[in-house]
Amino acid sequence: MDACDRFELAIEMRLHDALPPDEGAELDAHLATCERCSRFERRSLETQRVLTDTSGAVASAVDPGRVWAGVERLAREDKARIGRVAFLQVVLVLGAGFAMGNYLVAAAAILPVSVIVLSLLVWRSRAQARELALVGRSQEDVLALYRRILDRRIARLSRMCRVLPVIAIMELTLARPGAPWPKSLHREGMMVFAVVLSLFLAGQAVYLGRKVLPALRREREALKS
Amino acid sequence: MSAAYQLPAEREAALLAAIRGPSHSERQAAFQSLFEAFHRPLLSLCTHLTADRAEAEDALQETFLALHKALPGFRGEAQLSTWVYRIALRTALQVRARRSRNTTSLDAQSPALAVPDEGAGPDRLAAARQESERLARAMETLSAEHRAVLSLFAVEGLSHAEVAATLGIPLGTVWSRLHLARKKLLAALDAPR
Repeated sequence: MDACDRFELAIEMRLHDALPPDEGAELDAHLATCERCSRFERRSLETQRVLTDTSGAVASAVDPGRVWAGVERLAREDKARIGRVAFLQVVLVLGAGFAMGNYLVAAAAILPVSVIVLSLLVWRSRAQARELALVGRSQEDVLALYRRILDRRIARLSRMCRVLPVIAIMELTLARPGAPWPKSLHREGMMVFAVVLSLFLAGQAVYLGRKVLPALRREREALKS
Repeated sequence: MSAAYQLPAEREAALLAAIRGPSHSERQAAFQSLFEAFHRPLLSLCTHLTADRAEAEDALQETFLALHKALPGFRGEAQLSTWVYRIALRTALQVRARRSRNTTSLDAQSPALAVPDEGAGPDRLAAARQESERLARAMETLSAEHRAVLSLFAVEGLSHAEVAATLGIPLGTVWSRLHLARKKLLAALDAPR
C-alpha cells in the first residue's frame, strides 16, 4: 500500500464521518499537494452523491402501500398453498367416507396423513427461510443455495412423476367391475371415487412432466452457465 | 450521519416480543411497524443491488416475506436491523441472479433509476438521469461483494459498523473493501463503452 492508498482510505472514512479529526488535518495537508488524491476525493464525493441521491429519490417515488400490498399478497399465496392441501384432504375424507359408508373411519385414515403433510409443508417453508438467512454473503453462495433448492425440487417432483402414474393405475384396477371390494363398502361410490382420483393423479403426472419439470430443468441449466 | 433506520433497543425488543406473541393482531401490527421502519432503506439497497426499480420492489416484497417467515425463529444473535439488512442483501442478490439468467442486459434496457425531481429543469433532469444510468451501468460490472458494500454505504443512516456487521466482516476490512470497490467503480466509469 503506497502513501496515496492510505490517504484514499482516509478520504473514504471522511466521506462517511468516520475519520478522527487529527487524521483529517493530515489528510488536508496531503490533498493540498497531491493531485491524484484530490481527484480521487472529487470523484468519490461525486459517485457517493449520485448513489445516495438515487437511493433517496427511488425510495420516495415508490408507493409503500403498494409494496405492503405485495407482501400481503405473497403471504396470502403461501397460506393458499397450505389451504389447497387442506381442502384436498377434506375432499378425500368426504369422498372416501361416502364410498366406505363411514365418514369417521375415512377421517381416521386420512387426517393423520394430512396433519403430517401440512406439518411438512410448514417445516419446509420455515427451513427454506432459515437457510436463506444463514447462507454466505457472496452472490456465489446465493446462487449455490438457489441451485440446491432447485435440485431438491427437481428430484422430489421427478419421484412424484414416476410414482403418480403407478398409483393412478392401481386406482383404476380397483375401479374395474369385478374388483374385490368388501361388501360393506358402497361399491358404485368407491368406483367413481377411484376413477376420479386416478384421473386427477394422471393429470398431475402429465402436468409435472410436461410443464413444471422442463421449466425447472431449463432454469437449472441456465444457472450452470 | 443520522441513525434514522436504527431501531432503539427497547423498541426492537418490544417488536420482537409482539412478533413472537400469541396475538395475531399484535403480530400483524408489529410486522407492519417493522415494514414502516425499514422499507425505505431496504428499497434503496435493493435498487442499487438490482439496478432496476421494478426488481427492487420485487426484492423488497420477497425480503419482507422472508422476514415474516423467519422472524419467529430470530434468536437475537445479531441486532435486528443488521439481520434485516442481511436478508435484504441476499434476497436482492437472488432476484438479480434470477434476472441475469433470464437475461436482458442493462445495455438493452434503460435502468429506471433516475427519478424526476419536481424542482429541476429539463436539462438538469436529463443530465441527472444520464449520470445515474452511467453509474448504474458501472455498478453492474462490479462483483456482488463490491456492489454490496457500495450499496450499503449509500443507504442513508447506516453506519460503517452496521455495514461491517451486515456483511459479517471486521471494521477495518469494511474500509479496504469500500476503497477497492470505489476504485473499481471509478475505473468502470472511465472505461470506454
